[in-house]
Amino acid sequence: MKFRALALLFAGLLSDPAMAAKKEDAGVEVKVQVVDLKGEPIPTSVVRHPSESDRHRVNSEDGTWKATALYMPDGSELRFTPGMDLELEVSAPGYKTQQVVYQVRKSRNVLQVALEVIEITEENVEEPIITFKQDKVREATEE
Amino acid sequence: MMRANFWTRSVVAGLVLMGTASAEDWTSWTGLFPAVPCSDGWLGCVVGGQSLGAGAATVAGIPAAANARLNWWDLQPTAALSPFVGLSAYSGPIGGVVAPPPAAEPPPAPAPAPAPPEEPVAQNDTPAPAPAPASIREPAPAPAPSGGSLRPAPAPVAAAPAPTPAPAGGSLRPAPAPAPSPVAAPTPAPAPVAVAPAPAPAGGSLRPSPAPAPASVAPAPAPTGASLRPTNNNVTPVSAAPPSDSCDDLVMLEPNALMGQLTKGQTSCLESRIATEPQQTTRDKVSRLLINNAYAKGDKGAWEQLVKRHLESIDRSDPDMCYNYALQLSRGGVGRAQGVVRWADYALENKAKWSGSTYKSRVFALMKIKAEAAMKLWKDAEEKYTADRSDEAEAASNKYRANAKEYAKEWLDYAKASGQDSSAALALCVSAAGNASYCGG
Repeated sequence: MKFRALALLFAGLLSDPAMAAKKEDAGVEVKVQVVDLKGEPIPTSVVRHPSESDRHRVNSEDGTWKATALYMPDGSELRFTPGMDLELEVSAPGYKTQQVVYQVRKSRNVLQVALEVIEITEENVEEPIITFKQDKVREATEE
Repeated sequence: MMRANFWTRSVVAGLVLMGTASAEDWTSWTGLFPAVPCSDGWLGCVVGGQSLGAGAATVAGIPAAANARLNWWDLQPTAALSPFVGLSAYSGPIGGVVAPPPAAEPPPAPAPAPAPPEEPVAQNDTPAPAPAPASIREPAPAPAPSGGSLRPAPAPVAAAPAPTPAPAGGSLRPAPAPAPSPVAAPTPAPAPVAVAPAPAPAGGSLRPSPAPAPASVAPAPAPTGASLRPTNNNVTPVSAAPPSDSCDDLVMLEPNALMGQLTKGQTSCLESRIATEPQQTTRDKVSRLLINNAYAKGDKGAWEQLVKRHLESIDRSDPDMCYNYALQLSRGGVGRAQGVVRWADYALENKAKWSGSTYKSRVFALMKIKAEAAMKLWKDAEEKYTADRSDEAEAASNKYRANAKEYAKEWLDYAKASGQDSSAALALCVSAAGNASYCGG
């Protein structure tokens, strides 16, 4: 036990400062899981930032998407940092698109988004009668 | 105590049952005998080969009111279903048909005719004969009575009895009409029997001819022994001829087609007519008969096939038909979604034939089902791409997504412009576009 604690302390002292700095610049990972109202993952859903043109598909197995940063159309990078409000649009075919705002934490950023199915009610549509299309009798014209 | 209770209950139950039984009489069944069973307002008619009258009809062995439009027991349409039929066509000869004489021929009763006003002879029991020609011909000389007057014998009939002798002072009277029974009281024919009015006898007054017979009885010739049997007061029912399998007259087939009652022969005839008819307009009419027949029968599968054939190979300019077909396809799965989009587009091409609220509701409905179909196609393509991450699957997914976005936007724009509910359209548009800015949200 003592040996382990000493070994860890030693490793921390010897770690590369550059790596530490890189870790801080990478951004915080945010994981988004898209499910339906029953909790089942929606494999066809996509996640995107409102300003972004690309659509990020989720994992077809578990319906998740994760990233540490997003890249805007103007080439800028939106890094996820703790404390920032991250706006995301989550959509899927046949489901109502959801816009979420998530405050990024230092760690364990897991966001579950439940999408609602678009219900289109079948209204009482009247079906027109198919006519027999009989010829109309012409009146005799005087020439 | 218990025995008394039992008897008391029995008596009470018996009284209740008696009361119930006596409450019903024939007036309880007036509904079963409608006064006007036919849709065209007549007392009797022939609909699709079935005669309807004022009596109770029998459907599947169970009496039912003749004017019931649907059978109570199985909700199937009856002959009185359609209120749009015209007068029943009469297929018999003009003037009616002479009823065939029976095997044992009783002496027929003569037509009731009033006595001549100037008849000098006292009335006897001999029924007033029809006016005979001036030259009276006695079929057989009867023995002269004691009064000395010559009285013609009645016309020879197999069972004609001998005439009664004329009273004293009796004068010559014209020969009677078809062998009347001299002693029988004149039997008034309930239905007037048509007798050709004979010329007035010489010296006699003109006797008014009997009332003309109804069409059901042929006008009998001058009394020459033709046996005319009086009919009863009711209209002689016309025996319904079996429906012919001819399909020459399309107008005549329309009522049956509206009720789904075209026979197999008629349907086959119409089908062959579609295949052989050179005129497109006639093929159109024939096809519409078949379509309406299938619809009225509730045969959705056949109706769909017929409409599809009509639209594919006859005519697709009828927006109502395209609309109906697209609507029917929209109730199916993703396999029919392409058809929904196609036929909805055809209907929208001819939407100018509609107007007013019909235009608004149908255009809205068409755009709605088109957007829904595009969404189904996109969803299906996405699922396929999820399973197979190929370039082709991705291209298909992107294509259907673009269609879904476009149709949903069209629907949204029209819903807003026409003042109709746009919430569903907006949801579809945002889902396909991925953001609300495209949809104007």
